[in-house]
Amino acid sequence: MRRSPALEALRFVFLLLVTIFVLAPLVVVLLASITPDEVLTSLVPKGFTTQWISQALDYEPFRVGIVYSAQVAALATVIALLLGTPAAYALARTRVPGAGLLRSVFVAPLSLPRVVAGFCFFALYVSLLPSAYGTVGGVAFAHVLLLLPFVVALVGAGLAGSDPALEEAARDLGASPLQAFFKVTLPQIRMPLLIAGVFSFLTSFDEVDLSIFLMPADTTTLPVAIFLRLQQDQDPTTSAVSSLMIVASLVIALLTGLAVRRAGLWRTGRTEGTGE
Amino acid sequence: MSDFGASSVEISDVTRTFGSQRVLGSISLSIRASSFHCLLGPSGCGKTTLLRIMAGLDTPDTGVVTIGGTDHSRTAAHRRPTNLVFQSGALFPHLTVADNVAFGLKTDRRTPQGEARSRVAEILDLVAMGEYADRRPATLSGGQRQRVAIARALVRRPDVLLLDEPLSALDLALQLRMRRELRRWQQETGTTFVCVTHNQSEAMELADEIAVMNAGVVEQSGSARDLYEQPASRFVASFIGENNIFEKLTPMDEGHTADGLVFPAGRADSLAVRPEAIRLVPADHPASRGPGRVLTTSFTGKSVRVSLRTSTGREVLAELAPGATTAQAGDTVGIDFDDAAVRRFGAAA
Ligand SMILES: Nc1ncnc2c1ncn2[C@@H]1O[C@H](COP(=O)(O)OP(=O)(O)OP(=O)(O)O)[C@@H](O)[C@H]1O
Ligand SMILES: [Mg+2]
Repeated sequence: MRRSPALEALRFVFLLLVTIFVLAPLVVVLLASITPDEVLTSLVPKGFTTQWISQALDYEPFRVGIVYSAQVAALATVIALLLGTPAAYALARTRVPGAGLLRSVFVAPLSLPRVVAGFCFFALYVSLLPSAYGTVGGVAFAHVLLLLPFVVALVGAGLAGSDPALEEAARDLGASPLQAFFKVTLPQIRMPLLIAGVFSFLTSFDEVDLSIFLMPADTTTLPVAIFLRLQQDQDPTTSAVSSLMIVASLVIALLTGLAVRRAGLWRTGRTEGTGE
Repeated sequence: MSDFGASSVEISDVTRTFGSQRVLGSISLSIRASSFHCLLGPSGCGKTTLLRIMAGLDTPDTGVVTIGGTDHSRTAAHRRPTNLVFQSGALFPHLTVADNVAFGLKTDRRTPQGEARSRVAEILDLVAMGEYADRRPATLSGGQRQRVAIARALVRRPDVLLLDEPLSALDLALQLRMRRELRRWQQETGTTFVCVTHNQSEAMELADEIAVMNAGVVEQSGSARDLYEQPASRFVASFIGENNIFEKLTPMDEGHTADGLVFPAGRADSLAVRPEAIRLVPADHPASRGPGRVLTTSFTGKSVRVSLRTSTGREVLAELAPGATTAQAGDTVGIDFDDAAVRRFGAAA
């Protein structure tokens, strides 16, 4: 098919606009965190400073928040994977009665407004589980509800793409059903699992709407700390900590991408096939 | 080779229904230890289902599966003395050839590591895949993958090796070569082989005994020769080798006729005469059982194949020695065969 040059140009402009639209806020924040000015006035940096970054790292609520968020995200990710993977497996491989209904139950939290979900957990903790309020476990448990739909969907898609005969072959070769799952099925879905894990971690690390209901203002996760600080003070310290989060997320996304590409090598099939 | 197992298999009254579809309707079958037994039948007749029931990957609704004298009807797949070669191969894509083959030795921890390694090497040599030990399945050809799949099952030294259409994905030349190899591996290991196929020439070449299946039942089980010479049903007669089948024998003044040819008296729903049993005679010859118009003749090297049409329009194939006929397309000749060459099915003769 021949493409007209005008159409090509239009395509290019469109892609450029979308890219700018996506990246502009990130660039502004990155610039603000390394420019000496208190308020960013131009896109051309008037110098370079690490002052804001070191201020951010010295600010107590942020330091507590980073650790808190990391703990919550790690715990929520582990629980979501441990619950979501068997759920996805049961939906994909066994003929459970009412599988369709179960599937929609797992997806339901997606359509629940997070603020409402947050308030529900708040009500639950305050009335029945006061000890969970403000703890890593309490926040992580609430996050699991948000993460499960993604884990079930991603792992389910991975399972749908893997050959069930492989598992039968493993059992035929003497593996118990559990061994077959760990030695054969799990390696087939390690990429969906990795992606689900990374996605869960980043989502949980970044969560504000729900978390804000679940912790007292003095010890909070990092995004909540950012939100609270921004209400009092708009200096570039907030930009600096946001920049750190942006860079960390990009690095993680990049590493995940590399891992997926490497793993893709043995999936794409015959790369050096020799004929019989 | 030593230490390979071999057990008989006894299947009695096995049935299997999926939803409302009766896929296996009361199968009974005896498979001798150390024999090469083929399950032959058209697509969808339940061959794979029966094989999976033997492997323990599927459970029959009723019936008993006895392997080596022990009732294994309720034994889980991973505890059965059988191994299955899947139609697709089902090689583990994340493992090398050697690790694929070693998989079944690692699952039962009774095999010491050193012995496992030498057994993997031995079996890869048997299937001539030794030099591919470190490759991933994705980088192998179809024939090589099938060899690895067979090696992976054989290395466990099962009492019974179950093979589901192991050659059907290969091109014809490779199929012919692998048939001889399969036969050789069976003889060298002495293991009982049960092989599913829908290819009758493959079954006839490989098997000591063939069970012909149709629509979820075993129509007949026996040696290729038994099936060819004494088919027990119309289905077997038409499925094994070529056959001319004639319908509806009706009594007439002289003998009985079907499809415009005269047959010896007797009752039958259908009759079969092999192409090589048919002779061509002049149309007015007294031995002629009826006239046939020659449609085509073709020379195959070993024989001349003549296709004819009887007065009622039925096509008849005759396979004659080269030089046995000079008939040309368009000629009318007499069709003749011995009484003994006629096989009858349906109503008792
Ligand atoms: N798990 C299943 N659920 C429902 N129906 C099934 C299932 N497995 C097999 N069947 C049906 O049982 C019938 C026999 O299937 P089977 O795979 O045993 O045939 P086959 O003889 O091996 O055929 P082929 O030569 O095409 O492989 C088919 O009609 C198939 O649709
Ligand atoms: Mg089949």
